[in-house]
Amino acid sequence: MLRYLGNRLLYAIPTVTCVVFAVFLLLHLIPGDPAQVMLGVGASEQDLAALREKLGLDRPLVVQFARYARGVLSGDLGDSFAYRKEVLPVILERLPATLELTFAAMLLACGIGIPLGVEAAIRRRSSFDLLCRVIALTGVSFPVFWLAIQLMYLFAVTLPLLPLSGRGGPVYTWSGVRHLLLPAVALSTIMLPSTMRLTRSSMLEVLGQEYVRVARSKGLRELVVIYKHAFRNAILPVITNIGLQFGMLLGGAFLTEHVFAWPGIGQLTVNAIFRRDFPLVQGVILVTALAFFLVNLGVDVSYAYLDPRVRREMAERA
Amino acid sequence: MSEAGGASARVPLRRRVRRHAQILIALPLLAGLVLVASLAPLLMRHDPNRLNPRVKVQPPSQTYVLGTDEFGRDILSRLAYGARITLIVTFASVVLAAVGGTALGTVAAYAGRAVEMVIMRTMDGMLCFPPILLGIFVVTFLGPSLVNLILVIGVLYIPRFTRVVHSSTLAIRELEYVESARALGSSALRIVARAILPNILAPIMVQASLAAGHAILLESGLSFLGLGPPPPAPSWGRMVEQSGRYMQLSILPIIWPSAAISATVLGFNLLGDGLRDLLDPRLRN
Amino acid sequence: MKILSVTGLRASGVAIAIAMLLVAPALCFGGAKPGGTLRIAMYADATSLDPGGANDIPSQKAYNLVFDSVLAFDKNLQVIGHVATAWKPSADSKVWTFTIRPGIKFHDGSPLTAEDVAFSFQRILDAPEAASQKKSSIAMIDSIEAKGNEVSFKLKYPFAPFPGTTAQIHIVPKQLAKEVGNKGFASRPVGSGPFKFVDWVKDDHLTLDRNDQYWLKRPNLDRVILRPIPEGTVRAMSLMAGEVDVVDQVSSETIAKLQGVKGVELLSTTGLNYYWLGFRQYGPPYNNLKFRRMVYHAIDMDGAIKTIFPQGNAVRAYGAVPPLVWPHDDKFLREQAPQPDKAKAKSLLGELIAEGVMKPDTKVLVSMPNDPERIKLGEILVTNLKEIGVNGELKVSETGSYIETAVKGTEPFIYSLFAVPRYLDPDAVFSWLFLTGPSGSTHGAKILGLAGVDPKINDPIEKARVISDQGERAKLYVPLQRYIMLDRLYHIPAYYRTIVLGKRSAVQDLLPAPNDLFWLVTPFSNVWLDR
Repeated sequence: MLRYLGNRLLYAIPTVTCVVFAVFLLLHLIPGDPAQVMLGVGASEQDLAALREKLGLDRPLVVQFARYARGVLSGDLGDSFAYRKEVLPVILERLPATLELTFAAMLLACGIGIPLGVEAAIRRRSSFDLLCRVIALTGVSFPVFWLAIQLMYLFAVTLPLLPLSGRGGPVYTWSGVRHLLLPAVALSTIMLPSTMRLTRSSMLEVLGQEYVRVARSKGLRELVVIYKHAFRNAILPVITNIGLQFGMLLGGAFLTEHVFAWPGIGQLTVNAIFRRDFPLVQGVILVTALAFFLVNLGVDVSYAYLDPRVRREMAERA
Repeated sequence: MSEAGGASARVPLRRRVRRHAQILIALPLLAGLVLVASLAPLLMRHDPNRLNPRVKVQPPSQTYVLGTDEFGRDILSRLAYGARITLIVTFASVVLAAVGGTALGTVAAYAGRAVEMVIMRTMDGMLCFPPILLGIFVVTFLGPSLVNLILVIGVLYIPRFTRVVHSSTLAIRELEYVESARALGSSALRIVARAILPNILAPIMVQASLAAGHAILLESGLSFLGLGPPPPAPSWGRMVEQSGRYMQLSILPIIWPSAAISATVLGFNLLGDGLRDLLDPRLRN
Repeated sequence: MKILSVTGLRASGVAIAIAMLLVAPALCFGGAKPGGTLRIAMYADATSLDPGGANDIPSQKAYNLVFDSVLAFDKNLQVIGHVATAWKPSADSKVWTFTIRPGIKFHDGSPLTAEDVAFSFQRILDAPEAASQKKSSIAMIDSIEAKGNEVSFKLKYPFAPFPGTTAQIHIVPKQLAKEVGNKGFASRPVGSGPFKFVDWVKDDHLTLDRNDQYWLKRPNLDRVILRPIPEGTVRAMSLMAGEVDVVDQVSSETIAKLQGVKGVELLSTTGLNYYWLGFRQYGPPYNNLKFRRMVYHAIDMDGAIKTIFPQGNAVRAYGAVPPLVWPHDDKFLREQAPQPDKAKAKSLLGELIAEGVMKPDTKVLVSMPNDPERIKLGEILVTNLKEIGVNGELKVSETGSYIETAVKGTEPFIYSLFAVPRYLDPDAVFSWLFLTGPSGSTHGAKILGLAGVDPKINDPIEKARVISDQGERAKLYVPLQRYIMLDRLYHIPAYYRTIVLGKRSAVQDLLPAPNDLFWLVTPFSNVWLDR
């Protein structure tokens, strides 16, 4: 197991490096000069050249990347062009908000999606099944933007129960929870349908398996059959999917953050790209890629923990 | 195979309808969409791009069946023409992703460790890339156009297909009938085509239908950032984004494209589910 | 019977005096109640609170509350003293001497001196450290000297409008800024303005507290909280729900919605911005005068503005000088501008084709930035072009790429940008937008593609800089603008956007600023809350 972990971490490093390099390349290839963005349209050629030199943008690409990589290895992610501050604090400032939103949305999506998926699988082809799926599907079909505004209108303007936007503080405060509710609900609608469908199809597969029939024929109660035997196995691909989603959401749910004025990484990154804030974009990708790998690793490990076959295979492959 | 075929002859009609409910709903829906999209010029009275500011934001009427948008353009016509964009983008990008992903996934499953490692890690790298960023990059670099949008969405979904195909292939590879086929001397390609593909069609279908839905929504999101197909292209995503700005004045202009998007995503999802139910031998009980 | 004894009179006199003393403060304040927190929703968060570094408008709106500028504007946008009480030029207008007001203290208690003023300018000029957009507007400064309570600026050339340029430079404490460096200063800004920096959670809220020692007057508000809410609809809803007290950037669509709401008021004023369609004249047919005339006749600009701004929150522009800046020549420009005339446009097209300047299917590229209003303008223009038989095409790019394509390269197309005069003087408009030649302005030489020197443009600009008499200068600027707008047709002026603020009724004494800043504590106003 330990060797497997070690191997995975080892492979993560070149992958993350490649991803950051890809972003670095893309940033330099797209039209748009950071110096021009910073100094504005009227800047003189001299000032632009001087600023480019100061920011190191006039060196060949390989040199620039080498400098950057060297900095990263010593913990310095560079200075943000727009904020004129170190990149890492700028990102870390927003991490709690992003994590809160992601966790809350996932909690809602799983808390509702998984039970519904299980029930739909059990009552397959019933009207409940169809109804569940239609509801879930229409949920994902509506643009988040529209849904968010409707939620806001209902719960914050018509019935002034909840605040409209912004983050009210850390999640362990009452104000924090109140502000988190609407954005989390809006964001969860993105993940809920896929979670539910995956749970359903996974359960269906498992329920059709031999050992479930064996368990039933042994006379075990239906509930036990479902939850002790079927569910535990069906949940595995769902966990993988959740891990995937989580990793991706760590990159920030831009649209939700934009509408709810949620101070997360999504807005930060998109704005940074528009401003051609190279160090900040690279820094965010670096941090989220690392987080993504860690999360995936965690998922795979828990997978292994739950499924002995996978454990065996891991041992073989390591 | 034969068992199911024999059984269906005796199964009452209602049950058969129930069994294939999803496909029975999805097919007409999607077929209707395709029809409207292809016959749009014949069916629609108004030019979807004709500006007529005097009749802007009108409620539905005899002349303008679904009303007009903020430029006075007929919403129904724009929906119909926009259907073309939606269908093309969705279909092309999903096909791109599915073909690319399947190819990469099977190669990864069959080729040596090194190749597999490289492919899968590259896919991981692509997955941790926020979709919006890639969208912005491509569109900024190559310009906003239909083809580039297809490229963005297709490439974004390749990793998912690759992963699914890879793990499914691995699982099936060990199964008995594949072993026996190999023992009988069939080439790898034949094994893949005959034994593996039909069995991984199910997860591919699920992914494809999920991807189709996401593709439409991603297009909407990119339009929000101003990066979708350039105006005055009546893409549904852009219609949602633009009418979102004046939702206070009238709610209908955003409802129509949103409903169209929902219906299409629903259609694709139901189709995917239905096909999977039909094709997956393990689910026939 | 003594009714009015002497003591009685004296007593009543004292009583009256006491009564007057009690009433007087109320009369002075005119009912203003000190206290309260003002919550403002902005369309974007500031990126930095360092006035020498931050370039974007939200940052300006924020640091304008924390720092003071050398000179300021009154509500009619006339330049008045602020940190400087007097200013005078030398005989040749090349050296300007400013007298600094005594008794101003920074938020940390240290006094504001001429040294700080000189330093504030110098750090902007010391590129590339500061990387400030303001450098180009004070680039005429050669050297700065602080002596006693006076600061002298030696300019590279005589420049009559110089005082106006100092109104955008804010004073930072020299010693502190040098000690903590630019990065440190941006995190804990210390100024001399009406509000002190308290805390800032990026993209969430920025808190400012009253500066009790403010030299101008005591601010009524206890505290100001700036919250960035990027989505316009959400901003409007926040105002309606009472979650915020003031919102900026109210869009056309939300104006209609907010107008009927109880407890909400809209404030508007003409803006200082100028939006236009321009021709990058790097190739045919864009460098052909007839072509530009044809496009001008083809577009129905008034109709476009009505469509894009149905609430009337934009004013049709006929010249580059915004309405609040002199000289005003609107009548002539409006009457002489090419009117929408499809027939005329079609015939001009015919002539252009006959002369071989363009072919019937020549693609005319209209390139717009990612701004919903200008995208609409682009769509309308392309439609208008198509109506006269021209193969128009619209291209939309996000801001970074757009600026790149507009400023660099030699590709010709129709573009759209906007400009706000850096200082309220026509020189800010003309030298910024139209100076031609190799040392010309970016807008003139590079974007419009006017590489060769046009003395008809450059000469009046350079002459007018040296004269101080406004009437004489106007005599140079009026024909210049007519030449550019009517003879050469380099720009098709589009509109000036109206500044619209939304506020709750409880907010008193808030005037909308034409330069889009928040006028909370000014020589002519002091915002207070009536609740």
